[in-house]
Amino acid sequence: MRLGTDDLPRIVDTDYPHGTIKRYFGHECTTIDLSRTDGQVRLFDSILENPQFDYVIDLEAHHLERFFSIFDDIGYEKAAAAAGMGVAVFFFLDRTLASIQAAVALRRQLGSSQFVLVRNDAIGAFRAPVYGEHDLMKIGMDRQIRLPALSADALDFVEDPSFNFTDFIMQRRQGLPDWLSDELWRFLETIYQQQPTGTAESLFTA
Amino acid sequence: MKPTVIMVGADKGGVGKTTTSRALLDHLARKNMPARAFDTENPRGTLKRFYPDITEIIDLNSVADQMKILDTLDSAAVKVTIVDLKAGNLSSSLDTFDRIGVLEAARHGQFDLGLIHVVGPSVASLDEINEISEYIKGINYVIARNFINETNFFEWDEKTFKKYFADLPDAQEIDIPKLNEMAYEQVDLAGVTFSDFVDNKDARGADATFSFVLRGYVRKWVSDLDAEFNHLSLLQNLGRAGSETAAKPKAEPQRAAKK
Repeated sequence: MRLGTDDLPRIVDTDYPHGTIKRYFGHECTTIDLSRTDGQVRLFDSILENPQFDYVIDLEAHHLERFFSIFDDIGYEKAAAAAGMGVAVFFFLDRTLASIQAAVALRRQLGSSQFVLVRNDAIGAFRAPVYGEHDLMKIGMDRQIRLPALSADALDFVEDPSFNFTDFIMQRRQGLPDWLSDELWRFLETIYQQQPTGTAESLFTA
Repeated sequence: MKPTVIMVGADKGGVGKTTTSRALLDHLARKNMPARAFDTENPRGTLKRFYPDITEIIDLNSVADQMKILDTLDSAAVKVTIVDLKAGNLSSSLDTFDRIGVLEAARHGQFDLGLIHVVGPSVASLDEINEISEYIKGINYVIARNFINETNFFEWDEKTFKKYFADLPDAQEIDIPKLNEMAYEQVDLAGVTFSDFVDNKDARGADATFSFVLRGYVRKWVSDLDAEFNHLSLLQNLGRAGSETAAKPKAEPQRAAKK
C-alpha cells in the first residue's frame, strides 16, 4: 500500500498498550484500546470522518469476535460503503479446526466485504484432511494468499523495527548479504505473484 | 379506537422505569401511534425532559390532575396515554386508581389498561408483585426485567419465579436489553429521544454530530427492544386498532409469559 499510493495508509494497532505494529510504523500508527467504548468510537468514527485515506487495522486475536460483533451491530459495512469505502478482511488461518470454523463464521457474518484467507507456511499446513478441507471450502473466500516461510535468520532481520519492506523494495537498504536479499525477494515475489492485476484498486475501492 | 392507558411503575427507585417509559414512547412513535404522557415525578419530571411536547407533569394525589388523565381519555386527540408513575408509588397509585373506580372501568372494557412493572433483580422486587396482585387482575400486566445496566438477575431462580407468577397466568414478561453505558450517557446528555439520537438529530430537530458507533449501539438496542415490545398483546391490540381503517389484519398469536 505504501508503494502504490502517495497518501500513506493510516495504521491502527489494537495491541493496547504495547503496540506491536506501532514499533514499525511509529508515525502512521495509532494504538487503540478496543475493549473500551471510547476506543471503538476513536477507531470507527475517525475512519468514517476521513474516508479519503486507506486504513489498515491490525486486529489482535482476542478482539476478533468483539470487533466483528460491534462491526455488525453498528452497521459499519453499510456506512463504509455509503462513504465510498471498501472493506477487506485478511483472515490468518492457523493449524486448528477452530480457526477454520472461526473463518466460516466470520465470512457468514460479513456482507459486501472482501474476505481474503491468508495461510502462513511458517506455522504449517492445516492437518485435518477429512473434514478440514471441506470446511475450508465452506468459507467462501474471495481470495487466498500463501505466505512462504522465511528462515529464522531472515525472520529475525525483518522483525527488527528498523526494517520495512518499502525501503527494501525501493533499494534504500544497502549492504544486505546476498543470501538475505535473495530470500526476501523470493518471499515478496511469491506473495505478489498471487495478487490479481489491479489488486489494490479492487480491494480498497467500494 | 378504544382509549388505552399504560402505566409504567416500580416500587423501587433506580430500576430503569423512566428509561422504559422513554423506550415505549419511542416504540409507539416508530409505529406511528401518537401518544401522550403524564410524568408523576412531580415537580421535576425526568420524562418531560425528553418528550417536552407530549408530556405533562402531574401530581397523582391531586384530584385535578387525576381528572387530567382520566376525564380526557375519550376526548383527547391521541388515544394512547402513558403514565410514568413516581418511583416507590406503584402500590399507592394502584390503590388510588382502584378507589376512584379506574381499575373497575377498565375491567368492564371502557378502555384498555396496562401496567408495565419494571423490576430489579432482588426478591424484594418479586415481593412487589405479591403486593399489587389484587389490583392487577383483569388488566394487562407486564413484568419488565431491566438489563439496561447489565443487571444480573441471579436471585431469580425458576422455582421462586414460578411461585410468584402462580396467581398471574396472564402476565407477560419482557427484557429491557443492556445498552452500552457511553451510548446511554450520550443520549441522556443530549436530552433527545433514542430515535432522534439514532437519526443524528438534536433536541431541536437539527443535524447533530453524535458518534456513529454510539448511534449504532442505540440502533441495535432499539431494534432488540422493538422485538420485545412486539410480543406484548397490549401493544399488538394498539397496532390492530390503528390499522383497522385500512384493512383487517389477521390476529397474531400472543406469546405467553416466558417462564
